[in-house]
Amino acid sequence: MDRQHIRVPEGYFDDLQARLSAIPSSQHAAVVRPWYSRLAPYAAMAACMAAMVVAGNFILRRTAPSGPAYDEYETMLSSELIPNTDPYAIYHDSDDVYEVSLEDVAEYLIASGTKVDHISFIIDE
Amino acid sequence: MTRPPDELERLFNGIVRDYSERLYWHVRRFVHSHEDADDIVQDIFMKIWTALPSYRGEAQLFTWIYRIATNETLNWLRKRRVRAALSFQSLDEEMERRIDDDPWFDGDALQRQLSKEIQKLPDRQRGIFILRYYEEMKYEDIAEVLGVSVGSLKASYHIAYEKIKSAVKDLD
Repeated sequence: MDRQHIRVPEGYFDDLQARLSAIPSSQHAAVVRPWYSRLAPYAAMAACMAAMVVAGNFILRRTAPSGPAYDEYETMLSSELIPNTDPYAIYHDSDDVYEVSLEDVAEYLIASGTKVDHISFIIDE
Repeated sequence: MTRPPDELERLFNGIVRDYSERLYWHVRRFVHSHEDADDIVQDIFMKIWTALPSYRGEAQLFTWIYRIATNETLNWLRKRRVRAALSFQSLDEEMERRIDDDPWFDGDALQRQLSKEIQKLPDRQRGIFILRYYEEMKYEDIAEVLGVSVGSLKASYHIAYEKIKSAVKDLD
Protein backbone atom coordinates (compact mmCIF):
# COMPACT_ATOMS: atom_id res chain seq x y z
CA MET A 1 0.00 0.00 0.00
CA ASP A 2 2.98 2.33 -0.47
CA ARG A 3 1.37 3.95 -3.42
CA GLN A 4 -1.14 5.93 -1.47
CA HIS A 5 0.58 7.35 1.63
CA ILE A 6 -2.38 7.22 3.96
CA ARG A 7 -2.29 6.18 7.60
CA VAL A 8 -5.03 4.82 9.83
CA PRO A 9 -5.53 5.08 13.60
CA GLU A 10 -3.47 2.59 15.59
CA GLY A 11 -5.18 -0.77 16.02
CA TYR A 12 -7.88 0.20 13.56
CA PHE A 13 -7.83 -2.96 11.46
CA ASP A 14 -7.99 -5.26 14.50
CA ASP A 15 -10.96 -3.27 15.77
CA LEU A 16 -12.54 -3.35 12.30
CA GLN A 17 -12.22 -7.14 12.08
CA ALA A 18 -13.80 -7.55 15.52
CA ARG A 19 -16.77 -5.36 14.56
CA LEU A 20 -17.27 -7.10 11.23
CA SER A 21 -17.06 -10.54 12.84
CA ALA A 22 -20.00 -9.57 15.07
CA ILE A 23 -22.29 -9.09 12.05
CA PRO A 24 -23.59 -12.70 11.88
CA SER A 25 -24.64 -12.77 15.55
CA SER A 26 -26.27 -9.33 15.34
CA GLN A 27 -28.21 -10.41 12.25
CA HIS A 28 -29.31 -13.61 14.01
CA ALA A 29 -30.75 -11.60 16.88
CA ALA A 30 -32.62 -9.43 14.39
CA VAL A 31 -34.02 -12.40 12.44
CA VAL A 32 -35.38 -14.58 15.31
CA ARG A 33 -38.88 -13.17 15.87
CA PRO A 34 -42.08 -14.85 17.07
CA TRP A 35 -44.56 -15.88 14.34
CA TYR A 36 -47.21 -13.39 15.37
CA SER A 37 -44.80 -10.45 14.89
CA ARG A 38 -45.53 -10.71 11.15
CA LEU A 39 -49.18 -9.92 11.85
CA ALA A 40 -48.31 -6.81 13.87
CA PRO A 41 -48.23 -4.36 10.91
CA TYR A 42 -51.66 -5.53 9.66
CA ALA A 43 -53.13 -5.36 13.15
CA ALA A 44 -51.76 -1.81 13.46
CA MET A 45 -53.35 -0.81 10.13
CA ALA A 46 -56.72 -2.30 11.17
CA ALA A 47 -56.55 -0.48 14.52
CA CYS A 48 -55.81 2.83 12.74
CA MET A 49 -58.78 2.38 10.40
CA ALA A 50 -61.09 1.54 13.31
CA ALA A 51 -59.85 4.57 15.26
CA MET A 52 -60.46 6.81 12.23
CA VAL A 53 -64.03 5.50 11.82
CA VAL A 54 -64.86 5.95 15.52
CA ALA A 55 -63.26 9.39 15.74
CA GLY A 56 -64.87 10.53 12.49
CA ASN A 57 -68.30 9.33 13.62
CA PHE A 58 -67.90 11.07 16.97
CA ILE A 59 -66.87 14.35 15.36
CA LEU A 60 -69.66 14.28 12.80
CA ARG A 61 -72.27 13.61 15.45
CA ARG A 62 -70.94 16.41 17.65
CA THR A 63 -70.83 18.91 14.80
CA ALA A 64 -74.17 17.99 13.18
CA PRO A 65 -76.42 21.04 13.19
CA SER A 66 -79.29 21.16 15.78
CA GLY A 67 -80.96 23.52 18.19
CA PRO A 68 -83.12 26.66 17.80
CA ALA A 69 -80.79 28.32 15.29
CA TYR A 70 -80.98 25.30 13.01
CA ASP A 71 -84.79 25.10 13.36
CA GLU A 72 -85.03 28.72 12.29
CA TYR A 73 -82.82 27.95 9.32
CA GLU A 74 -85.12 25.11 8.33
CA THR A 75 -88.14 27.42 8.50
CA MET A 76 -86.45 30.06 6.41
CA LEU A 77 -85.45 27.44 3.90
CA SER A 78 -89.00 26.14 3.57
CA SER A 79 -90.43 29.66 3.22
CA GLU A 80 -88.00 30.29 0.38
CA LEU A 81 -86.41 33.32 2.04
CA ILE A 82 -83.11 31.61 1.39
CA PRO A 83 -82.58 29.48 -1.72
CA ASN A 84 -82.87 25.75 -1.40
CA THR A 85 -79.77 24.29 -3.00
CA ASP A 86 -80.52 20.67 -2.22
CA PRO A 87 -80.61 18.96 -5.67
CA TYR A 88 -83.09 16.30 -4.55
CA ALA A 89 -85.57 18.90 -3.36
CA ILE A 90 -85.16 20.82 -6.61
CA TYR A 91 -85.66 17.90 -8.98
CA HIS A 92 -88.17 15.83 -7.08
CA ASP A 93 -91.72 16.53 -5.88
CA SER A 94 -92.25 17.59 -2.31
CA ASP A 95 -93.84 15.15 0.08
CA ASP A 96 -96.62 17.65 0.69
CA VAL A 97 -99.01 17.32 -2.19
CA TYR A 98 -100.59 20.66 -3.04
CA GLU A 99 -103.67 20.22 -5.15
CA VAL A 100 -104.65 23.07 -7.38
CA SER A 101 -108.41 23.73 -7.27
CA LEU A 102 -110.54 25.24 -10.00
CA GLU A 103 -111.00 28.30 -7.84
CA ASP A 104 -107.22 28.76 -7.75
CA VAL A 105 -107.16 28.50 -11.52
CA ALA A 106 -110.00 31.02 -11.93
CA GLU A 107 -108.35 33.45 -9.56
CA TYR A 108 -105.08 33.20 -11.50
CA LEU A 109 -106.84 33.70 -14.86
CA ILE A 110 -108.76 36.73 -13.59
CA ALA A 111 -105.54 38.23 -12.21
CA SER A 112 -103.80 37.66 -15.53
CA GLY A 113 -106.55 39.47 -17.45
CA THR A 114 -108.19 36.56 -19.19
CA LYS A 115 -111.72 37.28 -20.55
CA VAL A 116 -114.62 36.06 -18.45
CA ASP A 117 -116.01 34.03 -21.37
CA HIS A 118 -112.75 32.09 -21.60
CA ILE A 119 -112.66 31.57 -17.86
CA SER A 120 -116.21 30.15 -17.75
CA PHE A 121 -115.36 27.89 -20.70
CA ILE A 122 -112.41 26.45 -18.78
CA ILE A 123 -114.32 26.14 -15.48
CA ASP A 124 -117.27 24.40 -17.16
CA GLU A 125 -114.83 21.97 -18.75
CA MET B 1 -26.73 -26.61 -2.21
CA THR B 2 -27.48 -24.62 0.92
CA ARG B 3 -24.65 -24.26 3.39
CA PRO B 4 -25.34 -24.83 7.09
CA PRO B 5 -25.22 -21.68 9.25
CA ASP B 6 -21.95 -22.70 10.94
CA GLU B 7 -20.21 -23.09 7.61
CA LEU B 8 -21.55 -19.74 6.41
CA GLU B 9 -20.24 -18.06 9.51
CA ARG B 10 -16.82 -19.68 9.10
CA LEU B 11 -16.69 -18.59 5.47
CA PHE B 12 -17.74 -15.07 6.41
CA ASN B 13 -15.13 -14.78 9.16
CA GLY B 14 -12.51 -15.94 6.66
CA ILE B 15 -13.61 -13.20 4.27
CA VAL B 16 -13.39 -10.66 7.10
CA ARG B 17 -9.88 -11.81 7.95
CA ASP B 18 -8.62 -11.81 4.35
CA TYR B 19 -10.46 -8.86 2.83
CA SER B 20 -11.39 -6.29 5.49
CA GLU B 21 -8.15 -4.33 5.14
CA ARG B 22 -8.02 -4.60 1.34
CA LEU B 23 -11.59 -3.42 1.00
CA TYR B 24 -10.97 -0.54 3.39
CA TRP B 25 -8.15 0.78 1.19
CA HIS B 26 -10.21 0.18 -1.95
CA VAL B 27 -13.04 2.31 -0.55
CA ARG B 28 -10.74 4.87 1.01
CA ARG B 29 -9.25 5.75 -2.37
CA PHE B 30 -12.71 6.69 -3.59
CA VAL B 31 -14.08 8.63 -0.64
CA HIS B 32 -10.94 10.25 0.88
CA SER B 33 -12.31 10.06 4.41
CA HIS B 34 -11.46 7.53 7.10
CA GLU B 35 -14.89 7.81 8.77
CA ASP B 36 -16.87 7.43 5.54
CA ALA B 37 -14.66 4.54 4.41
CA ASP B 38 -15.28 2.82 7.78
CA ASP B 39 -19.07 3.20 7.39
CA ILE B 40 -19.08 1.95 3.80
CA VAL B 41 -16.90 -1.06 4.63
CA GLN B 42 -19.38 -2.09 7.33
CA ASP B 43 -22.24 -1.78 4.81
CA ILE B 44 -20.25 -3.87 2.33
CA PHE B 45 -19.75 -6.68 4.80
CA MET B 46 -23.43 -6.58 5.80
CA LYS B 47 -24.24 -7.07 2.11
CA ILE B 48 -21.69 -9.86 1.81
CA TRP B 49 -23.20 -11.64 4.82
CA THR B 50 -26.72 -11.27 3.38
CA ALA B 51 -25.69 -12.44 -0.10
CA LEU B 52 -23.38 -15.25 1.05
CA PRO B 53 -26.07 -17.98 1.16
CA SER B 54 -26.82 -17.32 -2.53
CA TYR B 55 -23.17 -17.40 -3.65
CA ARG B 56 -22.83 -20.53 -5.76
CA GLY B 57 -19.28 -20.08 -7.02
CA GLU B 58 -20.29 -18.78 -10.45
CA ALA B 59 -17.59 -16.12 -10.09
CA GLN B 60 -14.31 -16.26 -8.19
CA LEU B 61 -14.91 -15.33 -4.55
CA PHE B 62 -12.63 -12.31 -4.61
CA THR B 63 -14.17 -10.83 -7.79
CA TRP B 64 -17.60 -11.42 -6.26
CA ILE B 65 -16.51 -9.56 -3.11
CA TYR B 66 -14.91 -6.71 -5.03
CA ARG B 67 -18.03 -6.37 -7.20
CA ILE B 68 -20.14 -5.86 -4.08
CA ALA B 69 -17.59 -3.43 -2.64
CA THR B 70 -17.23 -1.39 -5.85
CA ASN B 71 -20.99 -1.22 -6.45
CA GLU B 72 -21.62 -0.14 -2.88
CA THR B 73 -18.95 2.56 -3.14
CA LEU B 74 -20.17 3.85 -6.51
CA ASN B 75 -23.73 3.96 -5.11
CA TRP B 76 -22.48 5.98 -2.15
CA LEU B 77 -20.77 8.41 -4.53
CA ARG B 78 -23.91 8.70 -6.66
CA LYS B 79 -26.05 9.56 -3.62
CA ARG B 80 -23.45 12.02 -2.43
CA ARG B 81 -23.36 13.67 -5.83
CA VAL B 82 -27.14 14.10 -5.87
CA ARG B 83 -27.09 15.53 -2.35
CA ALA B 84 -24.33 17.98 -3.33
CA ALA B 85 -26.22 19.03 -6.47
CA LEU B 86 -29.36 19.75 -4.41
CA SER B 87 -27.27 22.09 -2.27
CA PHE B 88 -25.79 23.69 -5.40
CA GLN B 89 -22.37 22.28 -4.56
CA SER B 90 -19.87 20.17 -6.48
CA LEU B 91 -18.89 16.73 -5.24
CA ASP B 92 -15.57 17.03 -7.07
CA GLU B 93 -14.73 20.19 -5.13
CA GLU B 94 -15.77 18.51 -1.89
CA MET B 95 -13.46 15.57 -2.64
CA GLU B 96 -10.56 17.90 -3.45
CA ARG B 97 -11.10 19.61 -0.11
CA ARG B 98 -11.07 16.21 1.61
CA ILE B 99 -7.75 15.35 -0.04
CA ASP B 100 -6.28 18.69 1.12
CA ASP B 101 -7.65 18.42 4.66
CA ASP B 102 -7.18 14.68 5.27
CA PRO B 103 -5.36 14.38 8.64
CA TRP B 104 -4.26 10.82 7.81
CA PHE B 105 -2.47 11.71 4.58
CA ASP B 106 1.29 11.65 5.03
CA GLY B 107 2.53 11.88 1.45
CA ASP B 108 4.13 14.84 -0.28
CA ALA B 109 2.63 17.47 -2.56
CA LEU B 110 3.15 15.35 -5.68
CA GLN B 111 1.27 12.41 -4.19
CA ARG B 112 -1.51 14.73 -3.08
CA GLN B 113 -1.70 16.06 -6.63
CA LEU B 114 -1.84 12.47 -7.94
CA SER B 115 -4.85 11.76 -5.70
CA LYS B 116 -6.56 14.88 -7.01
CA GLU B 117 -5.95 13.94 -10.65
CA ILE B 118 -7.32 10.45 -10.04
CA GLN B 119 -10.32 12.03 -8.32
CA LYS B 120 -11.08 14.03 -11.50
CA LEU B 121 -11.66 10.83 -13.53
CA PRO B 122 -15.27 9.68 -14.08
CA ASP B 123 -16.37 7.23 -11.40
CA ARG B 124 -16.15 4.05 -13.45
CA GLN B 125 -12.84 4.99 -15.08
CA ARG B 126 -11.52 5.82 -11.64
CA GLY B 127 -12.59 2.37 -10.46
CA ILE B 128 -10.67 0.77 -13.34
CA PHE B 129 -7.59 2.87 -12.58
CA ILE B 130 -7.68 2.13 -8.86
CA LEU B 131 -8.11 -1.62 -9.35
CA ARG B 132 -5.29 -1.77 -11.91
CA TYR B 133 -2.82 0.77 -10.51
CA TYR B 134 -3.22 0.27 -6.74
CA GLU B 135 -4.65 -3.26 -6.47
CA GLU B 136 -2.60 -4.53 -9.45
CA MET B 137 -5.56 -6.67 -10.46
CA LYS B 138 -5.50 -8.53 -13.80
CA TYR B 139 -7.65 -7.08 -16.56
CA GLU B 140 -9.71 -10.29 -16.71
CA ASP B 141 -10.56 -9.95 -13.01
CA ILE B 142 -11.37 -6.26 -13.32
CA ALA B 143 -13.68 -7.15 -16.22
CA GLU B 144 -15.51 -9.59 -13.92
CA VAL B 145 -15.75 -7.04 -11.11
CA LEU B 146 -17.08 -4.21 -13.26
CA GLY B 147 -18.96 -6.23 -15.85
CA VAL B 148 -17.16 -4.72 -18.85
CA SER B 149 -15.06 -6.22 -21.61
CA VAL B 150 -11.29 -6.56 -21.30
CA GLY B 151 -10.78 -4.53 -24.46
CA SER B 152 -12.72 -1.52 -23.21
CA LEU B 153 -10.98 -1.83 -19.85
CA LYS B 154 -7.53 -1.63 -21.41
CA ALA B 155 -8.54 1.36 -23.49
CA SER B 156 -10.08 3.11 -20.50
CA TYR B 157 -7.06 2.47 -18.30
CA HIS B 158 -4.67 3.66 -20.98
CA ILE B 159 -6.62 6.91 -21.42
CA ALA B 160 -6.74 7.48 -17.65
CA TYR B 161 -3.05 6.73 -17.26
CA GLU B 162 -2.04 9.17 -20.00
CA LYS B 163 -4.38 11.84 -18.62
CA ILE B 164 -2.88 11.59 -15.16
CA LYS B 165 0.67 11.28 -16.42
CA SER B 166 0.41 14.50 -18.37
CA ALA B 167 -1.06 16.27 -15.32
CA VAL B 168 1.40 14.92 -12.76
CA LYS B 169 5.16 14.66 -13.29
CA ASP B 170 7.13 11.58 -12.29
CA LEU B 171 4.22 9.19 -11.90
CA ASP B 172 5.48 6.25 -9.82
